[in-house]
Amino acid sequence: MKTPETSRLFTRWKNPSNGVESLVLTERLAPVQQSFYFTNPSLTEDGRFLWVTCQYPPPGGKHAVSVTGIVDFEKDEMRVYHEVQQTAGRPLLDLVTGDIYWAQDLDIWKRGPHAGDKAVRINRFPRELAVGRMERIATHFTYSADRKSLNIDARFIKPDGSQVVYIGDMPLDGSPFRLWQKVEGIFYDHGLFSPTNPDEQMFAWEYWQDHAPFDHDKPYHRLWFIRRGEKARPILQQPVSHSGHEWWDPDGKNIWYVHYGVGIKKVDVSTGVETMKWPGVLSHGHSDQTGRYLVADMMADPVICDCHVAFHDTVTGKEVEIVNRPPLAAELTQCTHLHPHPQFCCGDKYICHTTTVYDRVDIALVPTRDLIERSR
Amino acid sequence: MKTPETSRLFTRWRNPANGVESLILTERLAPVQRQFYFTNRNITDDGRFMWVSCSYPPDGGRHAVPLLGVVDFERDEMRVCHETQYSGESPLVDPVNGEVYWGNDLDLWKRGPCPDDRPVRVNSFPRELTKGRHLSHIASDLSFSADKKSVNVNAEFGKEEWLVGDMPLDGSPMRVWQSSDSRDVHCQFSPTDPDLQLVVRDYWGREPEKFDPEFPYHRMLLLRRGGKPEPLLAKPVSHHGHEWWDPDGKHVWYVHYGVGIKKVNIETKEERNLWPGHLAHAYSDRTGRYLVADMMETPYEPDCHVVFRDTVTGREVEIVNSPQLDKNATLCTHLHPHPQFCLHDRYICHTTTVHGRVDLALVPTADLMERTK
Repeated sequence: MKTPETSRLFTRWKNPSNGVESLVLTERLAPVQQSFYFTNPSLTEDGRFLWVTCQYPPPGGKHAVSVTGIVDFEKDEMRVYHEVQQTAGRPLLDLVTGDIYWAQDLDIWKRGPHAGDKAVRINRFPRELAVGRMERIATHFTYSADRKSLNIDARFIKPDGSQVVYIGDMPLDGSPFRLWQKVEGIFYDHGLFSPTNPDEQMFAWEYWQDHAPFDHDKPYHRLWFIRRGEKARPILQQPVSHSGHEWWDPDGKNIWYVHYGVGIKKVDVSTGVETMKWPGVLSHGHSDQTGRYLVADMMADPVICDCHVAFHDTVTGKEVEIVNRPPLAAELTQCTHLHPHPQFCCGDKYICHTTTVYDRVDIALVPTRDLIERSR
Repeated sequence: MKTPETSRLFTRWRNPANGVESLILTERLAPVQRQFYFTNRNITDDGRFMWVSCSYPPDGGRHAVPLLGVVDFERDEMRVCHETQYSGESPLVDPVNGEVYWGNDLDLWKRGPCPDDRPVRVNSFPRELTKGRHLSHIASDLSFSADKKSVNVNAEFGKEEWLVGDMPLDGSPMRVWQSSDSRDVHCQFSPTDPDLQLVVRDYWGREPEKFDPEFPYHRMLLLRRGGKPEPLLAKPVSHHGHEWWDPDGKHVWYVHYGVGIKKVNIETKEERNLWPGHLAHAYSDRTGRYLVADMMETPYEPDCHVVFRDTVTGREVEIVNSPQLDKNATLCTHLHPHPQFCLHDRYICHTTTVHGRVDLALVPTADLMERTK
């Protein structure tokens, strides 16, 4: 089986400032090929299948509904599955089987990675709860710890312009949606199942969108924790100034978040005690399974963003730059949400991210071994 | 050059009830291939290019953002253009050069029909008018102004504001003719007057669950640039819809549900019922003598039932009458036949389900005229 290092579909790109190599998927079946959101891995554990978000904006455009492609390292080929249109939430990959889950309208689907695999509808969000225009069924799907359900943070805009959000879970066996909490008039999203407890989720309050124009220095509770059968509670002991891009630690006891302008922090969910792990002006971060190594992107402007990604060893305090490029020229074909979203994947063997080093939107994998070596 | 009759991409299907033939596009590049909304033609005047709405729902699904394919009768091949994902009901085809126009987010794009043609951004909806709100579409169905210098705009923001206007094809700023909270949809430029649009006020859609189909209301209005919308009919009527301009620009046709297909003189407001019956969508040929219509028990899970009529002889001939598709079939949400005369009235284009899936069909009109003499 091929690997990103040996596949004909990838090209090595070397960071001119330090020689760090990225393996860029240069097989181009779509004008925009990007990595999944950083909370959702896209490479299977066995390294055979890499799922890719694909878009077809017109040349010079930036708007298109995403479909999904796949790199098959066994066959050393890439395919696009146009029926995997990501209209109602970002997809979830089963890291063992390579199956992918996604939502279209109220339906939740899955399909296998092989060309001959067929899509199967696994469940449907209740139509009677779908009031007004659907924004999404789930920001990004995650498995419950027992792998029997997917998280739901369905959001609808009612005819009068107000919003309603349903936090809950959707069983994979097709049995009915289970509502954990319904919230009206507040913008909640980014629900994520705990990796260890099927009765726990965290989600985010998009306070800054509910209170535009927003004061970035005003403290608020973005991070919320909910246990099935109970009401949600804030995760932090005290509200903090603007923050976001949270993710679960694999131990299920801690979560991580980016405190904008301050750094990446790790929080004990039961006590709310926070530990600063990477001080700095960072945007999205992610941790390896041990929590020793971090990766983050950074940008002066989230709307027209740089492609700037760095690796950090929290023990030595050393950093290694993976890539640092200015924003893509406005006239180039791109997508609206063009953040690098770096993420450890495949047993921390690689860091996957979206790169613009070829003046277009590409997906790249960076071997972590070299980064670990350089940051000793 | 091939034609639908000679192309390898089409297969003849014969109506078992009467032998009427449909030419079905059986070259299948997408799981759903269908006709545009009936107000928008999809074949060029020279018969070379036919644009097709394509979508890729999962097997057994019915939801997908559509995009465009094109049948090239010169090369006898079909191609899909994945960069043409469109919002609204229908893109617009220039019948002379085969270019297609579509809306995507705030942008209006066009591209030619040949493989190497590249999309060009024609114009953009002013971002400041969105006020941060979601724009559903630039227009439900794009239409050219009579001078072909603009396309119509009927922009929808949630359920609070509808803008009617026009977007110049030379890239100069969009012009707003009217802003209202009246659910103005399906606007269509007059085919003869660049300063006039037919505006459709979607009264029943305000509160569909409370709507009384017997309640008379004014759905159709005429909006002149710089003016105010005026009701098209002399008096409001019970539930009606699916209107289209007569090519003379002096008349508008509409379906009075449960009553028939009516032709209205926009000056005198005189109405004539030219096809009494329970009909859903319809269309007229250029002379107005021949009509085609679909009919359905329920608009949500419709039959594929299409009939042709000669208004002079009063005779009708059935094109297709197929029951609704199995619920497990791969579908699309708006699965109406939408029959329409096209290519100088040589064919009737419609969406058909006779093969247990969603296909596009062309029916030669010569045979239909012969049968209804």
